[in-house]
Amino acid sequence: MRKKWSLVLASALALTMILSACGDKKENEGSGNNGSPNQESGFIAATDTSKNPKQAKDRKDTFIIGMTDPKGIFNPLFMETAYDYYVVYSTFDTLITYKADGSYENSLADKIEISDDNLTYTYTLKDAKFTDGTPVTSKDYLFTWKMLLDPSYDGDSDALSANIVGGKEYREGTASEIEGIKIIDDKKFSVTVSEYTALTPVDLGYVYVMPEHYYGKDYKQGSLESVKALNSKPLGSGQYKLVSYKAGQEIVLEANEDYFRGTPKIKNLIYKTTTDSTNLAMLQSGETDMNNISVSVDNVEALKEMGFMNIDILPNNGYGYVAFNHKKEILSDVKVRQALTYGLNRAEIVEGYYGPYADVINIPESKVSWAYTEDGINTYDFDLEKAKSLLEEAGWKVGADGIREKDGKKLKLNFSATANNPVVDALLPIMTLNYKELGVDFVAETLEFNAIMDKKSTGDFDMFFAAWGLTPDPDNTIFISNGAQNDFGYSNPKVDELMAKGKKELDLEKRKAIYKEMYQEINKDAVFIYMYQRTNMEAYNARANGFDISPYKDFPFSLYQVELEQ
Amino acid sequence: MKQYIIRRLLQMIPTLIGISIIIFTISAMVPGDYITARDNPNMTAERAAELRAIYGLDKPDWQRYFIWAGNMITGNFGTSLQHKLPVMEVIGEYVWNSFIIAFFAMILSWLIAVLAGVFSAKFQYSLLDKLITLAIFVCMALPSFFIGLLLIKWFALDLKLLPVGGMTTAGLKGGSWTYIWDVVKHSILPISVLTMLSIGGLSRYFRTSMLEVIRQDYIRTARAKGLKERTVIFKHAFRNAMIPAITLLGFELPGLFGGAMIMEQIFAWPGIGHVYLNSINMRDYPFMLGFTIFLAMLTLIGNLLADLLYGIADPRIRLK
Repeated sequence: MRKKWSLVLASALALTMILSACGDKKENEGSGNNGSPNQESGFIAATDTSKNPKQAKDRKDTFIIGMTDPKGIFNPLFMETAYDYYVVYSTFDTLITYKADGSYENSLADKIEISDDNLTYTYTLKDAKFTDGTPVTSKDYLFTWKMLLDPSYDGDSDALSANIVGGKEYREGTASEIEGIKIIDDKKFSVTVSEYTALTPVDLGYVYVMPEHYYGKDYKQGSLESVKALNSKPLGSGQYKLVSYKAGQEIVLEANEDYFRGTPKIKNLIYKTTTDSTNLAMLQSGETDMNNISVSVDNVEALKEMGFMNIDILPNNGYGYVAFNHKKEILSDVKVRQALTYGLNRAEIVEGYYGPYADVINIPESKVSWAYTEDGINTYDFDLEKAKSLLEEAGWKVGADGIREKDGKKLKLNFSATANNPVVDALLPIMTLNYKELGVDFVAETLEFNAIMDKKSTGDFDMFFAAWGLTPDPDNTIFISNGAQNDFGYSNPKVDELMAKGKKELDLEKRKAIYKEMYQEINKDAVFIYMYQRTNMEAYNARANGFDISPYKDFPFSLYQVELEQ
Repeated sequence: MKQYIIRRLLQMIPTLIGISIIIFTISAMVPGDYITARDNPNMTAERAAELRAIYGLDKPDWQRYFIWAGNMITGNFGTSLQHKLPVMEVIGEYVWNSFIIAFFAMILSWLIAVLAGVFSAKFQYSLLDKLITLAIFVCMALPSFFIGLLLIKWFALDLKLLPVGGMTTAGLKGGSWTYIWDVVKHSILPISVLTMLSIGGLSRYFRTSMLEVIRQDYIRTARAKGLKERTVIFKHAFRNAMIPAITLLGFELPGLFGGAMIMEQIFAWPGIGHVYLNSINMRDYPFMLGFTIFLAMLTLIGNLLADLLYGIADPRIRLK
């Protein structure tokens, strides 16, 4: 379930191609001021609320949120796009939830006890009810895991990675119960894992509890068809309940009066479909109250001019990078990789497209994460001379035609980037120019996103540009040798060791030190050219008060406390 | 006649098989599948393999074709990977929204194009002809997103007469008349833009075919008989000039259901066009293939209808 951030990015990339506009997408980030000093971010308050259009002011008990249309999968098990997530966030609850700073607090869980060996978690549930009036019980939690571990489950969560005892047997169909989940009473149950990691509390706690009496009516191990049939008719314990859904048009929700955190203050909530070309105009005319607007100098200006919009600009949980294929002889040399990083004017590229709304990065971590560090990190500031001397050191001498050579081989690099992507349009001219000056025979092509992913998985590339989402936890399989996402051939035993250690460590301060060392290694090795961390923007009508938004806490989580000015 | 229709319907079968082979082959050759398109940085290789097995993507291409084609014969178009719903249900959810604007845009554009074509043929090289041609070329040359955004600015933001986008006002309450009126208001701009775009080509067809007919001997005869000019043009010339248009009408059939991708983006219209485009980008093969076959069938049916209507309209080419 922590996959959400990456998903968002994947769909963002897809969108980028569709709209040939910048990846709009959600992932907003808090009014927090923990953004870095050189990045323009934070909260910009409305200046003149009297300009508020009549259409918006007349909606006294209804709040309309514009977004790209979801797929209609309002089911925590199967949702894939950020927009389906929004609806699920509004209608379901997890045992624990994110706080604005990325740490956790109890949500449906009242109390969590962890055994001394860190393998058994005992949860006590709060007194919460599903929106049909039935109480949330231990049985519902167990049932949710049965669905996640079902052999026919094809959603995004990798349920086996939680290592619940008996989970594998249930998936394989050799057991009809999950041994590791024991119900103590209606409100109390324990979960035992075979192996713990730092992520276990999230794996077990960040689970949307789904009512067994509703979803389980016709469920049999091995077939989730009856559960999928209810995708567009969610029933959870959340802030809102679904009233109606019109595909491609709107999702109408109504406040859950029995919500365990208190009845939401806004009675009606509507998610309305908007597109990149209409979202600003709809905010202006008052047809919608809120929308995620892609960050650009023009869009921020337009929103400020309206006068009645509050704007939240927050760092995105993700980063853009240029990947190297470490299996290629040329790029296996760390000096060449460093030279290519020094020799690329990243600041100019980022400024060129994002203006002040993105930062050049030097490690693959969000600036607002607890794991972020600048200590001992090389900033690789643009320096052609340094780049040239590094190439000389690596044995690449300038040949007669101006292209560098080594042992009779030319320094030729192929580069792929997504077509119709404005970031690539800013990147390519500068990159081509910079690398020509370095004496690199640089061949660039633009391809469709899937074609690049195909090259990535088959290893048929030298370099490519892409962007990635970041999970709140720094643990990943990108930089470890033979990691699931390591299609780059990068291998550093020290990084492997630190990653394994970090995953096993439960103390946050100790983890910080471990990951700091890991990022220093990755930075020194120039695994990628780390490019930028951009921002997201959430704009909402100033008549709404009470949002608590951060990069780790999406706006729907605080909907219940939002109030409309009358 | 009945025999002819049956024969034509039977002939469609090999054509459809051919089409299905071609589109399946192309989709199989394109790099990537639904798993790579999602690019989930946390997906393990084992999980990816597990998912491919669930979706049947692990089988060789030829086997996948026969499974897919076999299901298709029994009327099962498969399940959309993105929507987790049967393909036909997804089509049903969106296609009528596309149909509404495509249908009215078609009626309007044919009406206007016929009139424009007839008048500019009748008064060839006159000032009227030149003005009509100019106006039509301007409509054709302006990019649709530009006209669309301009109209939104004028009519929705400045004059506040029409809504910006969508098909209904969010949270609308009221009876069916309120609903219909609301949809009408929302559809005025997209229908206008679609109409503007298609008038151009159509009116050139009608103008050419009208010009051809006007020069025929029987028109001269009609005029020589002393018939009124209006009768000559609208009864004798017009009817004959419209015969080639029947073919065009047949081709409009898939267009009515195909959706308008750019238009739907600009006006946030909940049509099928962007769902289709999305399925291509996300490699949602069941939907993409299913909808393509659906459009191919409509094209074939449109063709058949055109041929039948042709026979009714023009006894000279009546088929046996």
